[in-house]
This record gives sequence, C-alpha cells and structure tokens, in this order.
Amino acid sequence: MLKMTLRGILNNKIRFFLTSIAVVLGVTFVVSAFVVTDGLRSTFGDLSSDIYSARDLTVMPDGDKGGVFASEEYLDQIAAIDGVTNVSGQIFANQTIPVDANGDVPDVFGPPVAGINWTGNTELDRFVLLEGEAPASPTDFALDVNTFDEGAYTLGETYSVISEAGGIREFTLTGIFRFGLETDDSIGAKFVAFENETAQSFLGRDGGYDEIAIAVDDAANIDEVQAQVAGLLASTDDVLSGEETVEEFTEGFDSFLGPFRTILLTFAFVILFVSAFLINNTFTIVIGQRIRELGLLRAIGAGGGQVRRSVFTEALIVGLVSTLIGIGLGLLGARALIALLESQGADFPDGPLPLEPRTIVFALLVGVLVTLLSALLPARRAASISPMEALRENSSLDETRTGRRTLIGGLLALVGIGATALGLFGSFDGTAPRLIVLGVGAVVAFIAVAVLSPLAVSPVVRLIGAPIAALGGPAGKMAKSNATRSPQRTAGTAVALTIGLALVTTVTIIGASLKTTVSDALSSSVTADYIVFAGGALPAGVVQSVEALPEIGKVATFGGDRVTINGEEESLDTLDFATIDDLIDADLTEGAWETGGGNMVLYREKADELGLAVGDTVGVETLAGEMLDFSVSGLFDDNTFLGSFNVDTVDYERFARVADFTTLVASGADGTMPEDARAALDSVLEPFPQLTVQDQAEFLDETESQINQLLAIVNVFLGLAVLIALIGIVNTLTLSVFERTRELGLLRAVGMTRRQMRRMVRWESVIVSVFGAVLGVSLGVVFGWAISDAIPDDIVANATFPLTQLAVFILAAVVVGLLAAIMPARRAAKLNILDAISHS
Amino acid sequence: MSDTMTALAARTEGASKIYGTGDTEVRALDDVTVGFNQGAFTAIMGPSGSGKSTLMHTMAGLDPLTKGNTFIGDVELSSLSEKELTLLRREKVGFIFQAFNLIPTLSALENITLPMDLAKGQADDAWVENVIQTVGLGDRKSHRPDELSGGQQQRVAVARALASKPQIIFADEPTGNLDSRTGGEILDFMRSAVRELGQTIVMVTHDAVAASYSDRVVFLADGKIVDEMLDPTADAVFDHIKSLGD
Ligand SMILES: Nc1ncnc2c1ncn2[C@@H]1O[C@H](COP(=O)(O)OP(=O)(O)OP(=O)(O)O)[C@@H](O)[C@H]1O
Ligand SMILES: [Mg+2]
Repeated sequence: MLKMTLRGILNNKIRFFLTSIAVVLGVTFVVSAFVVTDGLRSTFGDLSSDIYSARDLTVMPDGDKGGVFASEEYLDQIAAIDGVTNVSGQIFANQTIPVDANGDVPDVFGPPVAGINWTGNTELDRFVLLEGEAPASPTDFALDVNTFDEGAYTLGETYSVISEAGGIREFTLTGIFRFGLETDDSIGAKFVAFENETAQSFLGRDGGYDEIAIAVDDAANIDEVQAQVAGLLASTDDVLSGEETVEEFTEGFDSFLGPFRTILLTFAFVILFVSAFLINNTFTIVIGQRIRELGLLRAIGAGGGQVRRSVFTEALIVGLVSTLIGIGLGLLGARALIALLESQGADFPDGPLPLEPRTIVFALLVGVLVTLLSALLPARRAASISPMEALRENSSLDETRTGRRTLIGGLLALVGIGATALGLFGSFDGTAPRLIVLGVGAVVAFIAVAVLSPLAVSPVVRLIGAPIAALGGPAGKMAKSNATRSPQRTAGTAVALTIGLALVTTVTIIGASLKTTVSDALSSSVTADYIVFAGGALPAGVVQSVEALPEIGKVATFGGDRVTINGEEESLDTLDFATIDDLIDADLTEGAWETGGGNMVLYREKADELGLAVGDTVGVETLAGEMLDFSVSGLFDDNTFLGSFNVDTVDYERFARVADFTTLVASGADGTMPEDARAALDSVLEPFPQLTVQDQAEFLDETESQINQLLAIVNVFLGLAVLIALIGIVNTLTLSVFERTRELGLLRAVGMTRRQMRRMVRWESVIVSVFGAVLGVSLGVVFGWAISDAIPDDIVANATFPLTQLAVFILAAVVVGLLAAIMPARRAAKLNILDAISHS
Repeated sequence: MSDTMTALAARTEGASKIYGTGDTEVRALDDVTVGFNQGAFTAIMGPSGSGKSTLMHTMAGLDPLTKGNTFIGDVELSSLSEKELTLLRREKVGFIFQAFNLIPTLSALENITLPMDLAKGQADDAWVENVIQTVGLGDRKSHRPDELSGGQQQRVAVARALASKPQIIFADEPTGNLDSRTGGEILDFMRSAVRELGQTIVMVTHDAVAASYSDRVVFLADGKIVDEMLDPTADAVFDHIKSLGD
C-alpha cells in the first residue's frame, strides 16, 4: 500500500514536471525579452541623464553634423553671459579611423568611430585621461581605452588616422582615456582625440564646433540664460535645455531599441504560442490518463462540476508554480540573451536588469491564463464522461469528431487565410496595421492547422511510416501503428514543430528569393568592374587618385543629401552623368544622361507618380532652404543600384551641406589586364583599410552573406521554437510510455528485446517529428511563395525554393525525433516486466 | 517418441524466492523442486499468496530466483543474459495472462504472430491458420482487441501462445475473468492442444472445475509443494482443497 502511494506521488511528480516545463519555457522567454529591453532602456536612461548631468544647456547648430558649425566667437560670447559657469565647444566627427600596427581598423559599420577635440573640460566632456598625456601638439592623438585594448597600439608610437575631411595623416599616440567619469559609458562608441585646433582642421570643422555644452550657476535663472544664448545665435540654431538634451539622446536610442524590442517580443510570442500547444497537449494526455481516477471520483459521488474544478485547481497550481519558476529563469535567460547578442558583436552597457511590475503581470497572465485555457477542453471532457465509461478498461477521452473538426478548422483556416491575404495584398496606412493584420492572420491560420492536422495524421503517417515499417522490422511496424493510435495526440505533439518549421521555411524561402533577385539584378544592371564602399565618406583625395590611374578607365562617384521634392523629404543623389552609362545599366528608356548641370534623371515609376515627363521642371528645396530647379532629361526603369532622383556631380555643391562621396564604381582601362587594374586600385586604396574594393562576384558574395547573417539570427530564435517542439515530443513520449506500461511489459514478456523496445519508441518519435516537419515545410513553402509574390518585384522578383535546405529541415526533424526519444526509449527499455504486467 | 513423452519440458531444483529482508521478508517460494512433463497439462493450485504466480514467473525467466535452479528443457536460466532470456521467452515459452493479453494496436492475427514477428522469423502459416481455425477465430482475424469479447480475447491469447510452438506454455488464471461456459471452451481447447498437438501447458487456477481439465494438479501452500493429484476430477480437487483448508 505504501509502495503504491509512493509510486502514485512519484508518477504525479513526473506528470507535474512535464506539464510545468512547457509553461516554464514560455514564461521564461517572455520575461527575458521584457527584462532585456527594459534593462537596456533604463540603463540607457540612467546613462544619458548621467552623461548630461552637469550640462544645463546645449547649443545645436542647424542641420545635422556636417552642416553649419558653431564658431569660436560664440564660445566667448556665451561665456560672458551672467550665470554661465562653464562652456565647452565639442567636435564629434564620425568616421575618424585609426589604423593600428597591423593595419587593422575598428569596425566602421557598427557604433560610431568618432574624432573629438581634447578640451580638458572634464565636467562637460566627461573624457578622463587614464594613462600618458593628453594630445597637446598638432601631431599628438589619444585613444579611448576600448579601441586601445582591441587594437595593436603602443603609447609613444606613430599611427595613421583617417578622417573624412583630412584624408590620411600620421599622429603619435600620447594618451589613453575613458568616456565616463567613474565607469565606461561609451556603449561601443570609439573615440580618437586631438588637440583642439588640430581637431578643427583635420576633422574639417574650420574653426568651429558641432555643439556647445553650457553649465549654468544653480542660482541663475536658467530660462533667462537660455534666452540670452539664443539671442546670440542664428535663428535656425537650437538651444536645448538639459532635459531636452537627455530626451533627444534617449529618443535616438529608442528608435534603435524599438525594433529590437519588437523582434524579441515577436519571438517570445512565437515561442509562447508554440508552448501553448505543448501545454494543451500535455494536459489532454495527462487528464486522459487520469480518467479512471476521475471516473472513480464520480462513481463515489463527485459531481461533474467538482471534477472540473479539481482539474482546474491542478491547472492553476501548475500555472502559478511554473510562472514563478519561469520568471526566475527569465531573469537568468535575460543575462544569457545579452551574452548571446554580445557574442554576435552587439555592445550593451552593464546595468541592473529590472523586473517591472508590468512584466510580472504579463508573465502571470500568460503563464496562468494559457495553462487554464489549455486545461479547459480536457477538463470539460473529463467532467462529461459517465462514471461507468471512465471505469471501463481501456477507456480514453473521446476525440473530437471528424465532422466537427473539419468544420471548425475549415472556418478558422478561411479567416486566417483571408486575414493573411488582406495583410499581404490590401492597402494600409503604414506598416504597423499591415503587420498586425498579418500577425493575426498567421496566428489564426496556425490554430486552424492545429485543429485540422489530426485529420492529416492517418494518411501522412501511412506515407512516412511505410519505409520505416519496411526498414525497421517489427519495431518499425509497431511504431507506425502507435503513431496513428491517437491522431489528436500525434498531431498535438507535432504542431509545435509544424509551426516552428513553417516559420523557418517561410523565412528561408524569402531569403533565398531575395538573394536570387539581388544576384539577377546585379548581373544585369552593374557593368562596372569594381565597386568601392566607404562606411561614411570617401577620404579626401581618394577619388582623384583613382581617376589618375592609367589602368583605370571610367570612374563614377556617388553622393547625395536629403532634400524636399513636392513636399516630401527625399534623397537626391549625385553621380557622374558623363560616365554612368558605361558603368551602370539602369535601363534608360527615354531621354539621356544630359551633362552640363541642371538636369535630373528619374526612376520611371517615381516620375509617373509625380506626373513628370522628360522636359518638365522639378523644384528641389535644399536643407538650407534654397529652391533649385532641375529639368528632367531622362527616365530609367531599373532601380537596383540607383535611387529615384539623380543629378550630375557638377550640381552637388549647389544643394548638399557637404559634397562628399560614399561610393565609387570604376572599370579597367581598355587593353589593361583585370589583374593589373585590380592591383593598381588596391595599391591606391591600401592606406585606407576601411575601404574595400570589390569586384562583382565579391560584391554579390558580401550582399549574400549579409542576407545570410540576417537569416542566421532569425533561425537561431526559431531554433528555440524547435527546441520547445523537441521537449514537447519528449513529454508526449514519456507520458505514452507511462500510459502503455502494461502493454510494454507484455511485449517484453512475449519476447521483445530491450533493443527492439528502444527502437520502437525511437521510430515512433521520428514518425511524429517528421510528420510535423512535412506539414511545417509544406505550409512554409506556401507562405514563402505567397509572401515572395506579395513583396514588390524590385525587392523580390520570383520565389526561389532552396530544395536542399528544405530536405535538410526534414532530416533535422529526424534528428530531433531521435534526440527526443533517447530518454523515453531508455525508460521503456528499463521497465521491470513483472511490475509492468501487474501495473494498472 | 515415448522418450519425449516422459522428458521434462521444464523443472526447478530447490527453487527459493525471497522478497524483502528482515521483518518484511516473504518466502514466496521455499525450496521447490518440481518438473513438468512434456506433452502434459499441469494445473497449479493453492491459496492466494502461496507463490503460484511466483513459480511461473521464475520458471519463465521473468524473475530471478534467490536460490536454486530452473530449467527450460536442458537450459539453466540463471546462466542466461537478459537478452538470451528474452530470446528464450520468444522461442520456447508461451504466456497467457488473466487479462490484458493483447496489444491494442494490433489485429487478432498480428497479436497471434507477434512472437514470430519479433524474431523476424517466418511464421508457419499453415500451422497458424490451423490454430486460428481450432480456436474458432477464423472470421475475427483482422479485428482489433477492443472489437473482441473477453472470451475471444483470451482465445487470441491462447492462439498466440500456441502459434510459435513453444516448449512450454504458462497460463496464469487464463479463465479467471470469464464466465464458466466461455472458460470451459478455452479449457477444452487447451486440453486438446495438449492431447492432439503434444503441447505442454502449466496453468495456475483457483477453480476446481478448471483444474479437472488437467492431467495433474500440484498444490502449493506457503511457497512449498504440499501435494499433488493425477487425473483429477472437479469433485476430488474440491474435496482436496477443503481438506487442505482444514
Ligand atoms: N514484488 C514483490 N515484492 C514483495 N513481495 C511479493 C512480490 N511479489 C509477490 N510477493 C509476495 O510473494 C508471495 C507469493 O505471491 P504470488 O503472487 O506468487 O501468489 P499467488 O499464489 O500467485 O497468489 P494469487 O492467487 O493471489 O495470485 C505473496 O505473499 C506476495 O505478497
Ligand atoms: Mg497469482
């Protein structure tokens, strides 16, 4: 009796554990996502109010960096104002790049690598010298400690530094400093410091500054001071209060954090959604197994309501306990997530990870509510069966009838497909509502899949099971019939994998289609041999040196700035009208690249939209507020490489704040061997490690690897969904083995070996996972195709189906199945035959 | 042939099985030496807890002895590995339990050929067909267990035990869950398997009528063999049980 009681508790423990694990996982991910984003935000908020704590006012010159700079005389005038205690003129020049002893440069595509002026004004600038001397002569420079540590630098040695305005120049490293008074507040930004006047000339600030920080006496009237400062300035310049400065700074961060949070929460949602199926499936099985116990309760006089309540109470306890565990693990998970992202190159400030009340409420809602909802259906069924039915041998929960399932599933599928189609093809005000409609459509569609998939079990498993039954011998045959024993259970177990793989497949197909489109477009539109990209602007002199090479034939440079056309903010690009036609085939179908200035060539679709034809005049308002007229001289059809509005380089200075170039394309001179042209180009660009020369194939490779990187990140997260699917399969198998104890004992008694037993469980697992994968990949193919079709043709032209990869997914499912079976199979094989036979 | 008639299909030598230790020690079998003739139908009787099931389980290699030896034919079981024991059960031993004898996902026919399928061996189709006809399951072959009555299910179990022509069949209260008429049919069938096919069957039963179908009854009490009776009749067995009870 004691043994039985103990065994009962132990069994319940396992059930309890198996049900909890699903909830715990879901909650963990949601909490992690919230905590990470909250943590970053609050750390950043603290950081920015910290950074600007001493600063009461900030003067921001009109326009972004590269526009008009505050001049030296303002500084003196501001310092003279009553109440002003400290003034600092600061330079912050992006893309100022030091080259270390190995010729390596910091990553220029990540956080800013900025040149600054060393003012020694620690109160306002917050640069603290750690070692060596501050830069004092025109040949000195200092580095922030992170850049110093990451590169090969020695104090006192001479290194090249490249700036956008000053080109390349040698400086001697005199000091190492930190941004932040007590701790490092740089969050990934890199700094190169010069003596003030050197900075102004080398960084192209021409005797001025990018912004002016002002500290004001506490006793002074700050509004009055602000008004006086404003009075000194051009009307277009801004004077921001301390709060406004922090706000502006944090806003910039939010715009980066926003999408990040959206992505994290989307993944958390996907994971939760998948977990919900896992929870539901586990509950259905567990309650199904307890049906005798519940029937006995009913037989001794418990009402249906009492049975339902007892099931609900259990669900509530499972939900609560698991949610609490999930919150704890979520906090750990947040750290892991940050570590993962940092290992991928992201750089986050250290700080506490706050557990906001909102996160707890959300976690409880998610954990407890999902659990209760999952228990709803099984509880209702458990309560509705008659005591006699429950006490009968082999009794089980009735599965939902096929007709009803088809009807409900069909309706859901229609709604889901309808909403998805609307999201894809309908017209919306902005991206957000479109994504919401798409999201709802996808969720409903997936629920429809879950409802309908039991109907697919029998035919699909017959198909998958055929080779397994043929190859796997008696164990394979029995595995196949075990998998079809309860279609609802098999489908419920597989649905997590179905959803995970449907999403992975969709993303993979879109990615592959994107790659094909890009490579097709490039090979048809770029005729240039070489492309040179700068992270920011091409350093001074580079263009001229390239043009001067005898091995290089045609060269075109690209630049541009923001302007206003027809009331909309647009990007106006410049390129060399004289040479462009030989380097880029934009499919100019009307007019010509008319040189001489004052002409504009437009992307045809854009021209049509604005009602412009060749010969018309386009009005352009520059950021400086000037009005310029251009005459339309040509229209082109292929915008893979070019923007919508293009003017000749000779017009550049007329509208841009800074007329620098970001991209250069070139082709070899006639009669020059490609190797020679390449070598010449490489030697000219050698002093600038941040510039890379790419030929067409390299450019394509790079573009593809960028797409691949994106896919890899998405796949890592979706891999988590697949992991949950794996746990789900382990769950179901463990419960099934437990449920079939007697039967397994009998099989062993009549001569099934342990090995055959393991094999049987393993094959069943593989059948279930491959079933999920086949369904998931099929759905993904349909989704991927539909979405590829819906994306405008200039981004994705035709859907491409990477068959090898899809086959790999199915194979991966086999592996998932094998892994999931390890523990349950071992359990099944270890059963004591006598215990099993006497088990009831 | 006469040789094999008297040869032993299975036997034990000084078999003891002790569960637990100290205060909780139970001697389920206490120095039992017994043999079962080939081609004989033996019944084992005794009060509940006397060790009948234990005797069968240890003889079939499902449970190791604490002391002593058991043999199937000439093979001594304690020398066999777990895997060899499994193969021995598959090839040489048939089982019929009181209930839950069948695998619910398999049809009647598949249940019957299960041991041969597990061995990936070819079943003797003619023999299997013969067995199925004899137990009267001809029209039920493709039915699942839940589509069969309790009596039919036990018939399938008997057919399975016979189909692989094992050296010995152990049946633990095979008719315990059946009404007397259905039980009688099963017993009839088991007896004819012994008489006509030369099968060896050892059956545990509490029922004097069931025991009367056998050639010999062995009485167990407190893990010891206390008596035996040849060519039993229901009345004689009944009287004997009563006398033992006194
Ligand atoms: N696994 C076990 N652990 C401890 N004691 C056991 C175990 N299996 C059996 N026993 C004990 O061994 C003794 C013999 O049990 P057994 O099952 O062989 O009796 P039985 O004659 O088959 O009884 P019944 O007619 O009720 O089936 C009993 O006292 C029983 O309690
Ligand atoms: Mg018994």
